[in-house]
Amino acid sequence: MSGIFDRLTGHGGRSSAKAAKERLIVVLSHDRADIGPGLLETIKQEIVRVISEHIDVDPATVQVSLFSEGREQHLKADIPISAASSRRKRAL
Amino acid sequence: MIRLCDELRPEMDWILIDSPAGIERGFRNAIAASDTALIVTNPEVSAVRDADRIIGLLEAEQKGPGKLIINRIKPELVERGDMLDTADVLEILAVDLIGLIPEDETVLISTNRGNPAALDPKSKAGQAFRDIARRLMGEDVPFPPLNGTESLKHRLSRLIHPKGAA
Repeated sequence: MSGIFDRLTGHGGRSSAKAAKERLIVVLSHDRADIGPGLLETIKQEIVRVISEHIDVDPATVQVSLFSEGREQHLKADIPISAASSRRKRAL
Repeated sequence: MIRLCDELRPEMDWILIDSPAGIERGFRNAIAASDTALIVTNPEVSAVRDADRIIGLLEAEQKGPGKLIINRIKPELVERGDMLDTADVLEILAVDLIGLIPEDETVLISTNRGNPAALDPKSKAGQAFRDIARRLMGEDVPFPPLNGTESLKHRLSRLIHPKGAA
């Protein structure tokens, strides 16, 4: 419905200002932290290696990303724990 | 630069140092003696990215975060969704706002003639410049609605309350 409205008002797809904002958020988070995608991948692999010594994690599900809160940069790691390792290895 | 500004300080209320664009030596020279900074940006991706870098450098030099002026705003593009609006830019850069300047051809005309736009009572940009000056002096000057959604809201509220104070 909103697509029809957009077409009627001459807005092809989403607004370009929205695209500009999304692009800026991604670019600036890397600019500010001075961390490129390569370094982010290295950090991810290191985290997986260390965590895997204690619990099972599937490297494919691990996500390491940057986000901003105000002018502060955060490094966020989301590490789902594999179902098999929920009953800790240490219990063995 | 620091010595020059120290000589001027006792005689002047305000010393405005215009920094060259970019982050090279000219910028470092310009901020050497400054107490605070006004960052001027356009609502465009590359300009906002540069402004963010400048704000970062100002913070690193303990001169920041500074206050933001958004220049050359085109309300009709904002309304159409083709220009970043004020809220977007402020959210992205996370600094305080001190001025909103609309795109205004009277700026070109007055610079052609060598007359400051700030002294032209009919210039919208001139009004914005005077508002910035008053905010610098500590006055609480409201931001007039430039942005599309706001002007639409105002128009609607005028329709609903023809004499309303809204």
